[in-house]
Amino acid sequence: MRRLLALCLTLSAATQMARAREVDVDGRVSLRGYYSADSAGYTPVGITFLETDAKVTGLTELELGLLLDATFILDATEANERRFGETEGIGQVRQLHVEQPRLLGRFDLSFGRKLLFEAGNAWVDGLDAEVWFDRRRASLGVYGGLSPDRFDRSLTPDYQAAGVYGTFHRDGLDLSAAYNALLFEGELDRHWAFNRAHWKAGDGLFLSSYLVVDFAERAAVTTWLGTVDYTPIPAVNLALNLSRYSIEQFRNQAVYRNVVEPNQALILGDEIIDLVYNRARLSASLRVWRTVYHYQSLELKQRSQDGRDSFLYTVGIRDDDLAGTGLRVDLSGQLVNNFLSDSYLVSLDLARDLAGQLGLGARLTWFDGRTVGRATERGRTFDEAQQVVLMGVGVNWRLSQSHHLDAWYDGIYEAELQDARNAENLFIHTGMLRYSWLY
Amino acid sequence: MGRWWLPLGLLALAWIGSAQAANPLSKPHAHLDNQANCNKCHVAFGGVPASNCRNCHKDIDGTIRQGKGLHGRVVGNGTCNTCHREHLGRGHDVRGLNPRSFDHSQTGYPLTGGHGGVRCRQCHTDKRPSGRDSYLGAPTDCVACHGEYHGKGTKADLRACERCHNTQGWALLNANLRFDHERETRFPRTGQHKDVECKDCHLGKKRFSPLNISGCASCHKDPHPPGIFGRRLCEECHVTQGFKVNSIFDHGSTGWPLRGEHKKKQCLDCHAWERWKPRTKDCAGCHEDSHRGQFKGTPCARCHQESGWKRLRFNHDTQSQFPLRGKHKRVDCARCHPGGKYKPLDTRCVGCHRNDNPHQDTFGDTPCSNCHTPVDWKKTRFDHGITGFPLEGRHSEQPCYRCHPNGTETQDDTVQDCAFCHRDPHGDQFDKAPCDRCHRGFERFRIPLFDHTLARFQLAGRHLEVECLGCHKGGHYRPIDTACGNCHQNFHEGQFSRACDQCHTPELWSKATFDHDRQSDYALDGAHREVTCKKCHVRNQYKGTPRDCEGCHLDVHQGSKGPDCDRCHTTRDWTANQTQNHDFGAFTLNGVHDLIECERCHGANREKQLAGTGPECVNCHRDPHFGSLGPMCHDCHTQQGFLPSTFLHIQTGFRLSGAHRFVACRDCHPGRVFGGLPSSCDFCHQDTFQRTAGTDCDHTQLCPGALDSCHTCHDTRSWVRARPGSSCGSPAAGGVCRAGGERE
Repeated sequence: MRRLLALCLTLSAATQMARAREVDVDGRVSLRGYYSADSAGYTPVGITFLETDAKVTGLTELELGLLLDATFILDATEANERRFGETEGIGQVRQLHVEQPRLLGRFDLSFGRKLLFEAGNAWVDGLDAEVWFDRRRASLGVYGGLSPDRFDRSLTPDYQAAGVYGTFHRDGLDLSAAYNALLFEGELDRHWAFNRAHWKAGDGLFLSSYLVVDFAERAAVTTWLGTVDYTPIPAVNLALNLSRYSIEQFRNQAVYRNVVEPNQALILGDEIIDLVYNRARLSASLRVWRTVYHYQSLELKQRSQDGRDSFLYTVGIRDDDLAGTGLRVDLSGQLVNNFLSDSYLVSLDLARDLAGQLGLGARLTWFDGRTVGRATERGRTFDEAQQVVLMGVGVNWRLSQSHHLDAWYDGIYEAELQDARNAENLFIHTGMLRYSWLY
Repeated sequence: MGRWWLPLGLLALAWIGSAQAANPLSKPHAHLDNQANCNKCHVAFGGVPASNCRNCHKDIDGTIRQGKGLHGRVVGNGTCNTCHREHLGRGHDVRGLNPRSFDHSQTGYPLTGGHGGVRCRQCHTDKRPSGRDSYLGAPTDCVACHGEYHGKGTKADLRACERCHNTQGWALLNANLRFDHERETRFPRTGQHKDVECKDCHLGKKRFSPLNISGCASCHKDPHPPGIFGRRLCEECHVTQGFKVNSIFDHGSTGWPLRGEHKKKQCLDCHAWERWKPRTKDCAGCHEDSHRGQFKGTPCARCHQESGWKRLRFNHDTQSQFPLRGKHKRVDCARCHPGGKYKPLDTRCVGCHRNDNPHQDTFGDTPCSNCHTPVDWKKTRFDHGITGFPLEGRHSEQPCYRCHPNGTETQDDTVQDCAFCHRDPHGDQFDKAPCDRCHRGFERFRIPLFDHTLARFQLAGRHLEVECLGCHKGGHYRPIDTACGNCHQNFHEGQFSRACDQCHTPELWSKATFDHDRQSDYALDGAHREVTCKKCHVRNQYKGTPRDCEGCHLDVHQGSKGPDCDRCHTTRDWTANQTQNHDFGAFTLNGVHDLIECERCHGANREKQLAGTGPECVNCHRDPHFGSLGPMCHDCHTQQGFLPSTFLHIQTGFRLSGAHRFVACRDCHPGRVFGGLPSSCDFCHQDTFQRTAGTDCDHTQLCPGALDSCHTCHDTRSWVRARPGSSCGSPAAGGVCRAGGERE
């Protein structure tokens, strides 16, 4: 609550200052609450998110800025319902720092909690300094300080972070590279190199790469993401996406080391430790006619654990103005083999603006999935099949450009097909109310 | 056969007996009323045939044969005794005629109109040879009863009454009466005769033919005094179109043909009724001399003409001593000849213009024509140069009275400076400096020769086009405040403290030299540079102008795209959507991304030119899974919101059901390892399994080595509650598990 109060005071002060000095404020505040109950009589879920995102520039004559990026979660029921993941803390401040750009013409300084995208999402509670060269086309930066707690995101002295990074961009080429070190109680725990490249190779042709190389015991590529995005003509977009990631290196680092739960056996086998995923995805989008789009993607995956392959095929069509009625329709289907399951999914999304600034939306999803490949090295207990129907309807009322109000209802009907001993059919009702202030 | 003779004989006797007993015949047949005459009517066993009747009644037989009359039309070949019954006594009327109910139309002559009320004998006047009334053979033509009322006629047959009359009433003529008076009579009707009713000419009931139509006098009375036209006939002068109109009389035959206005006159305008012949044939015979003898002896026709008395053919230039020139040509005669006085007249100007002389006695006996002409009184031919003050420039355009207001000469013709005529509007501002120092008097007084560069205020731009009085209000020239506000209204109403000339120039007030980029905190670029100031600064408001696009532009998206219009639009071209690449394709923006500024991903001021950010989430977002799920965030998360996740856990082959829905991820995924974990119960529940040892439900004893088959007793809804009826063979539980282990 103190943090909320502080946040409100900060926003209020920033707004007042903005009015006084006519500084630039960009961001939003979104308050959304969910209430979910099911037909099985489990504990209802009540959870509230307060998402704040504010970027303020020009607070002083020297253009001092402030950046706040946080999600405050109030999980009233602490139900840990699967859709909402772990809700560890009430305050999940991703970023909160002040920025002083163009100090002495070329120095950018920031102090506070910051995510350094240029350094591969390095996360630090401390100081970041960046010096620019060549008319702000190249920069060299260094940061250092504490590293937030990985679980509750609190400020902790247990972890320390430091690193150096550099950026360069010119003529459609954007590069960034970094070396990051993470210390746990003063000792090197993880250090890795990062490189990102994005290049406009020609008209409509973009190449990008995202690479993380970890140095734990030996250098290994833990994450690589390469993309070729090509738009030969305005109506056609083709994209090839290749990725590889491995969790092997993570296992030996403190930040990923498991917090032992009372029930866990910690009997992970070697096949998990050596888990490496390789994936390729080819997608194509086509603007068929004015507001009509057609898209397809095919994704192939392979994992080293058991040598299994997987695929995902998506096809859909979208019309942003169906027959000139203003109705937005998105109809898609998915066919998935996810190593140990087969499933298909058909989804229909509808949206339309009514009179004034009122919009209506509806969605319907049909999912059918079942377990395959029961006999793995580790063995499987359950052989399951499930049908899920999601029915959603919502209203979006744009009070003004900056103030939006949304209300949604989702009904999820899960039908057990294979093993009725585990669960009966389940109907989950979820209501959402969201107020957004865009400023 | 012989048996029938007896009854037949009896019948014959009965008939004979009855005949002997018949009643007497009617009175007209009384002469036949004896047994010797029976056969004249009767035929043995043949009744009374009509031929026997018609043998005697020859006249009736004739009409039957001709098919005329009642018997010819109705009876035909029928028997007569059907109507005419006999042997009913002497007093019986054998005719069987009832006059009241008899349908006369059976005779071929229906009684219509007035005929219905006429008694039978009024038409049927004949009598039979026996002296009785006869109703046979009555004539059907009108004249048979009504006589030849109009006579026989000459050309027309006046006995065909039905052409004009009908039975409804004698005086009611047929509506479709078509009597052609022109063809059927010797007197065609013309002119007003067509409108005359028959009785107006055919006086008396029988005077239709022949009429005495020897002349008009047959019907018309001669209105003229007796004998004034001698033996002339009426039609020599009059026509039937009207007695008073269109006389066909040739007046020229009198030696005095009618012309011009005379043709329009009525006869009595000139002729007296009692004395038709005028006294004289000249004008004075009819017209009065309006000139009262001024032109005695001069024939009227010398000036006047018959086409119009006032259309004179008098030539004032040649027939008088005063030719008309200039404006005199347009003057009415009466203006110079008042009261019809034509002679003698004074031909000098003062003869008419005495009262118009504004000069009084200034010029003595000098003839007016020395200066004035009949062309225009005010345009004189006076040479002003002889006065020593030649008129030049604008002075030559002025009428005399502008300088000579009373029509007189100047009081002192030696005084010729401007002030004599012109008022000095400057007062003492110029210390009585001569006017021609600034004004070129004879050309254009209002453009001064004054060199404004000698003044403190240099004229430039639009100021050069402003009249002096535009700035020097009320002729105030010195001293004067040269600040802009002295002449111009402060349009900005004090919003700016700076001087006007810091933004505006005299060249064009509306084109300010204000550098919006440097002198304000809102730089103009793109199309904004072409916009006039008032498009944004409406109602003269320059302070507090909104900087966001919505302040000036209508949001056609109705807020659906948020407040940052420059995400998609630029000031260079509003219609160009610079996020077109995000409309579709691998990185279609929606949800939250649709509402944030481009700079959040593409760098401040878009320095990276939109090429610095790949389409993957990890480029901008921190991965809360620390890479353990790979970089493909959109597998589980959408752009609408990071949470709730759309991941369906059954796609891993292990469906989260029951209590598993509410277990924290890390409870099952130690070390944030999410892929490839086994789904057997013992992976998470082995510790619980072990801790049942020594309890009433010792699973190590009851289910040794059965960690992969927990679901035979348990389900995911509640670990502590075994399936009802399930047995694990516990001796303490009597073979039935009553309570399971305890979950942490």
